[in-house]
Amino acid sequence: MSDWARLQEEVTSDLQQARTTSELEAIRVKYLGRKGRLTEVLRSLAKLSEGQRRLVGQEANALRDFLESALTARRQALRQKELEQTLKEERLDVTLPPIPFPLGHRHPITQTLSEVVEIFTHMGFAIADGPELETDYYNFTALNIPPDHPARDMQDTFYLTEEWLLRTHTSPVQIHVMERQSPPLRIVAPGRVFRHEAIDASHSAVFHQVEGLAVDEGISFSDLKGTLSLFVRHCFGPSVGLRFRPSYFPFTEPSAEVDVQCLLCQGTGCRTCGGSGWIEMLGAGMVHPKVFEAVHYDPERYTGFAFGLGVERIAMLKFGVEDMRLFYENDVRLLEQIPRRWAWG
Amino acid sequence: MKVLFNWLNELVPLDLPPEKVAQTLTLCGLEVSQIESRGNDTILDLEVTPNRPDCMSHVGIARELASALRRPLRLPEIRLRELPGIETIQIGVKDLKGCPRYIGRVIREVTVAPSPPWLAQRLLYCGFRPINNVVDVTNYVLLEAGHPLHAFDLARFAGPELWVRRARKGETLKALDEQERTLDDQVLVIADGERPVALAGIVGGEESAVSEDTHDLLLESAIFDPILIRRTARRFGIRTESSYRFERGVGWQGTAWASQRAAALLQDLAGGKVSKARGVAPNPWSPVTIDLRIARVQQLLGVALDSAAVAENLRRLQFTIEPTKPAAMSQPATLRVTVPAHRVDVTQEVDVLEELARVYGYHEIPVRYPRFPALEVTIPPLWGIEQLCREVLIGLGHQEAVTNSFLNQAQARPFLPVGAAGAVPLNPLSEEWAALRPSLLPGLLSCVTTNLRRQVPSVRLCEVGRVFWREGNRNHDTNGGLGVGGGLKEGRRVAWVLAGDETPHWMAPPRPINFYALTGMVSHLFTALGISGHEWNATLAPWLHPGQSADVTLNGEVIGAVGQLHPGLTSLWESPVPLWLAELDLEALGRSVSLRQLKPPPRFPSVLRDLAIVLDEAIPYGQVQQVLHTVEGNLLEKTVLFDVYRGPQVPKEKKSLTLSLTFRHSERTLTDREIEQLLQHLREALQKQLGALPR
Repeated sequence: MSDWARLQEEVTSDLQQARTTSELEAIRVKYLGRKGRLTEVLRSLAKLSEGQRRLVGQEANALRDFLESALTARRQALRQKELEQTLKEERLDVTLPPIPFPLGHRHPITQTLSEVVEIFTHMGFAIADGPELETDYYNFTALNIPPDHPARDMQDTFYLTEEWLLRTHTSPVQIHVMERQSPPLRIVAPGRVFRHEAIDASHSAVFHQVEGLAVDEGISFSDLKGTLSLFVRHCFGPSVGLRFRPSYFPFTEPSAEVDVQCLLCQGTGCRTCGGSGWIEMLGAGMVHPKVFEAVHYDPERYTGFAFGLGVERIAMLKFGVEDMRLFYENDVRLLEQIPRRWAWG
Repeated sequence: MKVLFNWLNELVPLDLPPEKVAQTLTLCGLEVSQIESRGNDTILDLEVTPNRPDCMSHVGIARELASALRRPLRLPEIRLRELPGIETIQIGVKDLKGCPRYIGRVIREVTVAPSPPWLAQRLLYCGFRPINNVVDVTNYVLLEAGHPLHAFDLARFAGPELWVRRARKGETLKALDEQERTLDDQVLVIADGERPVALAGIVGGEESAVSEDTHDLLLESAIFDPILIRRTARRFGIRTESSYRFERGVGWQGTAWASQRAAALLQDLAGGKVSKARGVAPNPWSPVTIDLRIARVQQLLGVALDSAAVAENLRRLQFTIEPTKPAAMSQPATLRVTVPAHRVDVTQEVDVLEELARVYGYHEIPVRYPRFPALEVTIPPLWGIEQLCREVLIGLGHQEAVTNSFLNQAQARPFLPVGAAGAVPLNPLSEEWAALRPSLLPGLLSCVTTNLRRQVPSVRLCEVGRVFWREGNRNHDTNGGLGVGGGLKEGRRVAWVLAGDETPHWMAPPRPINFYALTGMVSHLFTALGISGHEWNATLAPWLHPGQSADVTLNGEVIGAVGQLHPGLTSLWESPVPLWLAELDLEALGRSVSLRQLKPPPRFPSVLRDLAIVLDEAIPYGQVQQVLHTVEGNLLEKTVLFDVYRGPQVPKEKKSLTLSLTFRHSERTLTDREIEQLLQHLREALQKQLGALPR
């Protein structure tokens, strides 16, 4: 057996015995390191005659190539084994309770309010803001409800002084905006309103409305129907029916009550809709010429529509809540169930 | 208002089930809120809007049905024998504005008795209590025709005269509700020769009321001024079927018909001998005419109807339309519309347009998606800030709450701004609703403690909303923005309240909510809003624990306060765990937010060094930070406090602080020597200014 054969046998047996990547590294150093046996052979080639050098060189290079590829192959196999071992050991009980991260939720009323406002802002309505403390003039007189008008009975009022009151609807914002701006304009005005009335499952003395107003040349009742149809479709789904029926508000004429098909019974009649299949959703109408006169708009030139919708009522329908008072209790076990709504703008 | 199906059926042939009739009425604008079967009849409960007093009767409803269903209206036939020579009373009206029309009719020799069952039953079903045939007939005609009537016992009159006049100051009247009221010249009364016998149009006097001993009657059918009636009814707190209708307006023509109808019924049911009507109506009825421009139909309703179609529709509602003059080229088409007498609500062109839309059918008006012009974008700045505050606090684990704007006085008082008074409603719903909230905190506290009582272990609630108070001087109002008159103020706040530990987890010990969680949340919110430079200072807020609370100061202005609920208030809000509160002024936040200019990320490395010092217990950490940043504000990028130690390693009344300092130069790498110099400066400054020694 030649020296080469013996060396090759030695290398092979070393490689087979290596159990870890670090043992493998020791083998590499033993043969191919700076003072490795093969390295020494290769280094000594210079001292040999040319004929011997070729012969020995060929053998030594062959052995080196063999060793390097064997090392690489073995290293890969061992790494794989070691990785498998590590993965076997680093094992979690994935069913242990996760770390809780606090997540709050929007209140159903403000979330619904924001959603309603967004639908209209996407239709190009601006947002307007108004005070909750109002004067008799803005809340009533400018809206064609002069003193001694029977319609004042429709909205029982909290007074703070003879003149100052808590607004009974968001409609006074219409007046503030029209006093500031000239037509054309389109606004929605969300906010809290107050009525001096008894509280029960479907009535609250403190509740929320979103007011809408569009004024321009050539706006008609048809446009009101179109705008509110788009709103209802987006808010409640494309297949929900709606109807307009005559009603009365002193600040709009013609006035309409808009009913939406009951979401719970699909219009067949249930407890929530009082058996009628319809749920009263909002009041609307064409802005009364007297209101335009109060803000010095020319009622011959401009027409407009206005609407007001009850946020609580929409929230009750959307979240399937039958008693409005649940909203004001703020029990976190109820609030935690409100899904976060994805925003679109 | 309740109406009976069978009664309606007598006035207009229906041959429809009650549900269909109800639906027809609802779509006419007379919403039927309830349908109830009683005996062999069906009661429809209607919501009549205040503009339609003409619909406050069976004839009124039947008239609407007749027009909607295109059927004839059949009024009951009146067979009245008027006898001469018994109308022995003089009638005079002294206030013709208050009473433009009065018809009196004397009816003698009536026999007062219970009404026949058919009549009594109808009254009962409509919610009226049957009394006797005379009173019942007046109520029956009220329900039938909508015209209020009153019957006086003529024997109780002082002499054969009746006056409609203003009361004299100091006159009194005991009405049917047995209350005696003192009157003055703001009140219209019916009086005999001496004193008032009725509050005109509202309620009769007790003394002249019809009783079992009554033989001779005076039957009144009149029209009174709506505003006068409304004021008197409100002033005396009396609401009657009569005042309700007069306030809204009663049709002129109905006066005579109702008088005849009631007299005929009294003749048939009570055996009365009826006189001729004696009336006062100096100004005869002149019908209202309105010019309707056909172009307005398209402009307002969005539906193209020609003159003929408009006329045809309006005629169904008993409007009279004069034949249109052929429109000249230059003159747009106009119709002259005469309003029927019962429609007191129709006085201007737009009223006619609404009637046209109603009879044409709202559902027939086409749906059009409007082509809106582009407009300037206006969104109130605080709208966005409110939304962001909500989102940030929700992200910190708060549930958003919506609490009542009203509180009781005890809850409101401790939260009033210094020197301010509470804003209170003059007519509160109850003691619990006697004050408007001067802060969002009391309402949140109530909700948090309710949750704790319901065994929710950890509660975080936040709210965004308006608060109210009244400045000391009621006559001056200098505040802009939402400030209002009468010293009343309206403000906007964001607030949150926390109680209980963080949710426990098996890997970590329970972490309590404490003061530093609160200040951390405020800073977190400010970072989100792009606000910096706020400071924590001792607070005077009386609702907070003085040792565990702070004012939040921004640019020298106190914009809120945070801390633990004052122990003196825990009797109002009982809790087994401390309650932590924060409230900020949204308008102040709105003034401080600004769009930040972005700086590119630093290109040169930072250097971290620790600094440990020992100093007096009484020196707040804020002062240490202030010294560090004053001395080396440019190069000291960040300080992080990572240890506070008190114990055997440091002297008594002292504490040890360990800080991690980050230094960075924006244009080059700092050298070790520079860093050592910087640290040396800082140590010297801390020692000189705060007596802090290195440790």
